[in-house]
Amino acid sequence: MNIIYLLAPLALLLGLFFATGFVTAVLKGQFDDTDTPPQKMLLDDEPVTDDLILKGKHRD
Amino acid sequence: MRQIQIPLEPIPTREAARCRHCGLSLPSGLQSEFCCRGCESVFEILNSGGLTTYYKLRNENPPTCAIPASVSDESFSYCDDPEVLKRFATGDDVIHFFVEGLNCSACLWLIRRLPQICDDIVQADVNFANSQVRIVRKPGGSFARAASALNRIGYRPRLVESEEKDQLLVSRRRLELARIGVAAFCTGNIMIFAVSLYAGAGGRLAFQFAWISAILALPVLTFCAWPFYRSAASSIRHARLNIDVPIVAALVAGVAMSVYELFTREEPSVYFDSLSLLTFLLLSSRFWLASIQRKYLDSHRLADFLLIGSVQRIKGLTIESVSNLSVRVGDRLIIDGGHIIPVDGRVVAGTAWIQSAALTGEFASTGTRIGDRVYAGTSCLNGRIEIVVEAEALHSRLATLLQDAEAAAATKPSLVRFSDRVGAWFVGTVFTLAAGVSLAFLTTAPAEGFSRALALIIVTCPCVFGMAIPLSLSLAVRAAAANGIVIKTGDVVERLASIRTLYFDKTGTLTSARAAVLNFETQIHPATCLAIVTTLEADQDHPVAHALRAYARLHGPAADARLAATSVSRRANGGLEGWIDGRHYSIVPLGASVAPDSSSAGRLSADYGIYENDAMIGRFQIGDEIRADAAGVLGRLAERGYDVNVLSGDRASVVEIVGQHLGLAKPQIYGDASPEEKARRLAQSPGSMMIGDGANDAAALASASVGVAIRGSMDVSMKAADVYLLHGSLSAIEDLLTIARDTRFAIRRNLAFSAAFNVTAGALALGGHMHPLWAAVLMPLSSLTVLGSALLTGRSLSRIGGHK
Repeated sequence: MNIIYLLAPLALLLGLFFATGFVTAVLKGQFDDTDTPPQKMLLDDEPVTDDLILKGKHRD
Repeated sequence: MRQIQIPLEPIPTREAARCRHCGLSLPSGLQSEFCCRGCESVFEILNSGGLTTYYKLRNENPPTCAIPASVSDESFSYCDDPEVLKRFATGDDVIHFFVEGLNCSACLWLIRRLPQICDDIVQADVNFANSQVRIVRKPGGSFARAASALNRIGYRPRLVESEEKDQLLVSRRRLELARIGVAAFCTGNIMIFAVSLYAGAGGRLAFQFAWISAILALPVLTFCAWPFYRSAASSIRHARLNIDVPIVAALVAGVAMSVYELFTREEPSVYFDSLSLLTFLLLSSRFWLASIQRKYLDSHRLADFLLIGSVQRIKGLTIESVSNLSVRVGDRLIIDGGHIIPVDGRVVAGTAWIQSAALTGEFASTGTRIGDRVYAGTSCLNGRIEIVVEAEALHSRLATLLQDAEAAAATKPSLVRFSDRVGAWFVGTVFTLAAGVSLAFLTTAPAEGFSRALALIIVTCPCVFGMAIPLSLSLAVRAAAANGIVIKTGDVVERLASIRTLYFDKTGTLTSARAAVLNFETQIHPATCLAIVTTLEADQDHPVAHALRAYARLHGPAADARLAATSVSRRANGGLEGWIDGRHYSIVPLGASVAPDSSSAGRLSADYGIYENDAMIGRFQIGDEIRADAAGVLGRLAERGYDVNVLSGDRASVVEIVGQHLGLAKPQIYGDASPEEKARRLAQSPGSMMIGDGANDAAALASASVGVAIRGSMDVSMKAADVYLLHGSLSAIEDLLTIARDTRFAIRRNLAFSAAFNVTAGALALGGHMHPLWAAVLMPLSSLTVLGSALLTGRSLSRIGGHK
């Protein structure tokens, strides 16, 4: 049962490590906007020009 | 009667043709790929800028973003006014706009490529969390041109004070999130030790674990719970009991009992787990709801951007364009046709047609004479007037109306506050009972007393208040958003569920707020007659003329043809006359009872006669067109047992025509209602919902239990309203009421379950029939039950509407 005196503090330290990481990220503003970056990530590629639309089925 | 010969072309039929830009289905026979000039111009801009990938990126037809194309050539020169920049710009070159309709990644893609079509911009970025666009200009570039570039592609920009400027606000929100993180970490770890204590860990281990819990609870009870202490302290200072007082009382009582145990007993019973969990749940549910509110903007900013605009001020012999913030009482302004009057003032020169729909709800325009008063928020349709400013924008009649609306909005009750308060009293009661049972056994069997108190504290669960209710409300808000319904706060959902009476505004809600031809009848060939009418009206810049031309376009090229006409002139009474093919034609307003006082041709549902050499050959009726879905929606709502009414500021006779057309009985139709009267009626009937559009409804929207603003409405309504319909379709009202009803049912089911569970389990614990270990097992089970039930209802809600 003595192993608990090693494991409990270890578990707490591990938790503390992640908690500190989270708080640091929050204070640096990483969580200010969680809606936009996931969308942005999908769009970073160069735009593909759409020839069909550019050539213009558009008539007046 | 000889007819003018015009070859008739067959009207081409096209199945489900859709506008290439906005994706709305096109009326059959329209010779265009676009539903309106606005959509066409946006497409042209995107096409020439090489940005048509936008159309590929956005979601399928009809797109949910459906950018509303704007044809207004609004002047944004105020964006470069130093007075405005001082207030709104961050640094020298950064400015933020609030933009509606930012929905999907295609919008994001498009806006980030704004520098491609506007040379003044270095960088444009989107923040979906608060619907803002951030613009960085080139040194010396113009914000005004940037704003009009946004406007031209359909995103109407409105200046907002950026949060970036308000560093305090940003860091406060970050701190809140950090508090939640710390609370989660500590609570989670306390739970691990608490479970082994409940499971019967004894002796030295019990003592050590209790102390570890205490140390872990320290940051929760100090750093994380700090907002509760601060708010409770201020409430006590101001002698006004708020929700945080009982929370703090519960926390203090729990800590006191635990600390006493820690120092007096070898196997102490501590309550740090319950206390930390309570703190964590309260913090996170508050944060969650606050971020939903933030997305749709808090109200004071809306008031700001409504009232900011450019005006032309006479300075000596020249005219300068300034922001209306710089306008002072006594300044002379020039107002041109097509602009909104930004201040209250008196006309000193010129004449114009003024439409005051925004203020009074009346669609008809009235002519101004020298000496007449004009009000902020009304629009000058055509003509040109010079006015002397009598009240600045922020002190205008409109601004006063807005302030009233804001005051009314502030007094609304909140279910979340209610559940917070009940949650706090719940915890308080549990601790009192626990203290009582411990004291009762103190002299006879202290261990038994503590065991019962412990079981009671563990098994009773405020989870339904802390988590299940906010979760249900958030899920309802999300389900509504998927159907294009923006609900500003979660507690609106609860109020929605008790709605029995619906009041619909007319102008812009049941109608489209555009002049249109209601019916057209003629004794001669329809296309021929239309061609005569449109020819006479061809050069008129008047709502009636626009309506007739639009109507003629819908009926094919023959009807839209331009004939050779000579000496077309406007008559004193608002009619028109002219010569076509040797014949004298005239258009004469009829139906004086509908438009009593005037020469106006812009009256709603005004009748006109068409005369050929003084013989009537036809007549038409101009009106604000009634929405296609209005009759169906009103009928279905009435069937579901709602009391459906029309409440409008327009003349009673006109409102009656519209109401009866929609199948309402006379007692359900209220016309001639001033903004104040509307607000009074709504305030007097509890459980009423106002569905409106326009600044005149602001007070009514705020006075109603629930105010619903329809898209295209003025920004004011959105500010006063609780709900905002993105797609402007009336059928959203049905979805909204269904979502609210189902959500309330789910909440009540959860409350009933939770009450039954807590009373039964609490009684068992008090009576000594429940071991603390059993309590520790039962409590999470009950939490999972209420959360699961909330989630299940949320899932069925997301199927409502079925548009997607």
